[in-house]
Amino acid sequence: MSTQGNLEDITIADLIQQNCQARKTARLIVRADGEQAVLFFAEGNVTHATLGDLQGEEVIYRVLHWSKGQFELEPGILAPRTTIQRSWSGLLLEGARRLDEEQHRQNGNLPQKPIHSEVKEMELDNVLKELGDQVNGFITTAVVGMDGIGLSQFTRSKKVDVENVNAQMTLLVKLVDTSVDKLGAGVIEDILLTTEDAYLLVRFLKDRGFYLGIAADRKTAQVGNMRLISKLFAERVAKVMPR
Amino acid sequence: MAKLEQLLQEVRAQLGGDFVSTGIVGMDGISIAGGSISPEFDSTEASARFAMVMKLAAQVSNKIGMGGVDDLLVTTDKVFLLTRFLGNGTYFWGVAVSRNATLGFVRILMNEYADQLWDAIPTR
Repeated sequence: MSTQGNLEDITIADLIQQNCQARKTARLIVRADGEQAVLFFAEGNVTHATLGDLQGEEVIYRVLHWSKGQFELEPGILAPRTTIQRSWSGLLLEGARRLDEEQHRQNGNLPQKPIHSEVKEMELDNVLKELGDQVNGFITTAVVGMDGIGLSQFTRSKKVDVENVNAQMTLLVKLVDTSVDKLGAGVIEDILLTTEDAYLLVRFLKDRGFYLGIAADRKTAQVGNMRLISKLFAERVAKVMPR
Repeated sequence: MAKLEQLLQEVRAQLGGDFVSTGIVGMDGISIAGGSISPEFDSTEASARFAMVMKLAAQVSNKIGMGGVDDLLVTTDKVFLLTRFLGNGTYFWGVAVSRNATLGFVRILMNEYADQLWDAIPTR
């Protein structure tokens, strides 16, 4: 059963995000200004897109400009071919970058809330989900400011109150940071708290205004793996942090 | 107390050139044994500050429902700082080693000596 709607109610970026995150197999037809674009979703990605003679990624970047028009989403339809390899978040990021550039060129002003920033938030969420997949015994992860407020988080445990963990761990991180600084013991790279139930690892991000926190089950997690993953992902997180 | 110092000397010998400092500290922040390679190292300040850190770590772990604290590892660009509770948690043991140290070995060494150090604390 198809779903129809208006682009004034939901943006194409949102349609792409929703369908990819839900890992739907579907065909999306979008009509605007006498043009018709067709996008296909499968296994959490946009796999193919057409607009007239145009195919592939460029179609996505064109339709992201469309703010008026109608769409029709029909589930269960597979793409006849695959012309897009880039991840959906990568497509939105690149599309947003182009939109930003174009708007900047046109009027010399940046949009009030850059779309680029929203897409970066999505990228950050995805990076944290990926991190979760790579840590044995993963419980939760978050990017947290030194004010104790989480910028982004991903958790697999319903028992964990992530906001509380963020706030409490920040208190500890601040005290350790101050203590180490006063003792002249260098600049902190990471902090690992081992408790009866969990390993709690904190790694400062480059500007030190934020840190990446990871909690994993003590019975199944490996400290070396956690430290390595945190090091690798801290760099990726820093790259996709909204500014 | 001699036994305590002797055990710490053994640990120091096993850590060799990676050893920086060590101390057995009560939760009141006062050190009862320890040593450092640096005469400038302020063990009084280190003991007091890390007693506060260990207290807060225990509180935080309790508040977020992760159970009691076993140990804390801080990695800086200069050293590894390892602290762990001894016995019933009224004392903790801190060890600082250089970044060249084999971290896994230091942790094993601390596991190995923790109970002996606890038993060697004379009045508790």
